[in-house]
Amino acid sequence: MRSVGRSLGISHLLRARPSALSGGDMQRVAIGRALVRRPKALLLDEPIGSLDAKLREQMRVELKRLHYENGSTSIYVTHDQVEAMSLADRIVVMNDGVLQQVGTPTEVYLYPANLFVAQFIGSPVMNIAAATVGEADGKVQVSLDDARFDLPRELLGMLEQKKAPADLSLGVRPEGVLVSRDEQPGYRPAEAHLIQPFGGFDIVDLRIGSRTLRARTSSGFVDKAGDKVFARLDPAQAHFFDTRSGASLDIRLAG
Amino acid sequence: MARIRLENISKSFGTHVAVEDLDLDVADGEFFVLLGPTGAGKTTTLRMIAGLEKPTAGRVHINEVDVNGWGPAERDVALVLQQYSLYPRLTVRENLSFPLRSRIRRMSEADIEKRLDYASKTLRITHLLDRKTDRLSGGEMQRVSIGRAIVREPQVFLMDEPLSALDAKLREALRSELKDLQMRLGATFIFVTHDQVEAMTMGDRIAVLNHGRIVQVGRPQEVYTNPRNTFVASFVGSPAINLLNGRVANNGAVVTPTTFELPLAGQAAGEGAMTFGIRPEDVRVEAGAPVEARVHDIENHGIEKVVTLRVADHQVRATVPARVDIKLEEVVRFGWNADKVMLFDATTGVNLRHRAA
Repeated sequence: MRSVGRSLGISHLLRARPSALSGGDMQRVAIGRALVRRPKALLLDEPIGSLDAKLREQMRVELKRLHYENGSTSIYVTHDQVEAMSLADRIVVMNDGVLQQVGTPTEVYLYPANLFVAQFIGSPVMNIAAATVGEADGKVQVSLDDARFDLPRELLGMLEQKKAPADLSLGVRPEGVLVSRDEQPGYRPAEAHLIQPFGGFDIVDLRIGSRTLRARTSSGFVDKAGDKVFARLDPAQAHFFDTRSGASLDIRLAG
Repeated sequence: MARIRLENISKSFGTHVAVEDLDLDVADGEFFVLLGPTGAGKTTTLRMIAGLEKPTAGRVHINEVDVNGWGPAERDVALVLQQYSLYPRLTVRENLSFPLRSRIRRMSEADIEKRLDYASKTLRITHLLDRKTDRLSGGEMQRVSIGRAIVREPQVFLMDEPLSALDAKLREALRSELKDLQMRLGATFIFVTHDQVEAMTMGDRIAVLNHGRIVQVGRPQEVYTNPRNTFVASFVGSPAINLLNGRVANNGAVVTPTTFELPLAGQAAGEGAMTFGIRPEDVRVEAGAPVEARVHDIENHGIEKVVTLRVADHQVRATVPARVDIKLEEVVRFGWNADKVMLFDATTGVNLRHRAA
């Protein structure tokens, strides 16, 4: 009991009544009750879901540390993708009782198996749009309605090889939309709309043609709504999906 | 449209002081956020603006008119709460038109229809108009609640944690929708939240409250880069800022009691005890950096990793690009961007830049 109390940082609370504890301490005690039994496996069901944001952040580190020190197999249920990404060695993404993907956080983030995983993992959510791929001016272009972006020529062969359907969706995370203040080859004119500062970075909604794409920039990079900037897609971060089935075509372009 | 001004507002419930001597000036058309932990006095402040609570002292002005003697209806404000206060047996249409059918308003059916149409288009709930509200999802219900506020065309929208009950994905979507809505309406929004992400991403300005008092008012980036004290510094920003106790010596930072030293960029005016604040994105993990540490925790956030470093009893968080390969308990070296270090008074926690001002 002493060693569990110590590892959870609740040694000073051993004589306290549960009713006198804060939310975080109560959850620490609950986890401690599981650990004193030295279980073979630890099953956790949203153990920090009801705590406030700051405490959740702190508890995440503690839980992970505990797992590292105890080394016991842990299965952790959560609806919070940040928790899943932060804590897991591997993640099983589920929807409607159906397994969607199993992989390390990096795999699930970089190579989502389908549209559900693509939009569930990552915040802000991945941009998704119906896309057509064609050739114009000797370049391969992907069109999202009237917003057109250049992509490498290899794309055509890859689409053919993967037997891409007619109904294609393009997915690109905000950090895959590259923004420039100056006109550059391959960059399309865009107008900034909503700018959401997060402190360490900004999320900027860009109107490109009739489309809105969400981009991640360094903080203050775009000054204000209405500013004119330029944007392109990072080919290495472009995902292609079969719109009907939602399955990823697993096309990986070079940057 | 309205400017809201609070003048030395206080509110006590018995012996408990909920809000103390609060001054606030919200401009017409502004998205103004009241941010703070539970019990900071945010909701009480909002309720005093709404006319649901009477201040113990001080005055509430709407468009420079003293409204202390006015009831909630006369103030013409709309309140949206975390719990949607919808009539479950009525359709969305009936819920939306309900506030317009009060006898005082005497609105024509044509006018009601016009407002309904505008609100439902703005919130993209036109397809839900004939549905009963108990058949709606959480996000749809909250849209309808906001719609009920919009149809009234109030002077000001007061919102008390309207997104807190929704799940993370929906919250994220509604955050930008709500901000977009406010920009299109050009209306004054006063928005209460304990969630710093909501405050940062939606607010034109943020008032940070603690223990019934305003700690700081400023634009999101100001509050983030130049917090008034350690409370604001650690409340705003995720992952949280690193606060390290130590002292200034030879124009450098000496973190105690472990004693490791890092450079400063000349921001220290004198020597002595100090709390150093550095955001995780300004901590650099690289070979040849001044301080040795062990990797205590790694969180993969997809685009980046948040690494917690351990130096004796200190923990220091750093964000590194996702591709950086790093392992638990590995020995690494770190430093910081010296010009980004904030200095706080070791006893009061006040940012030295604010103390001088």
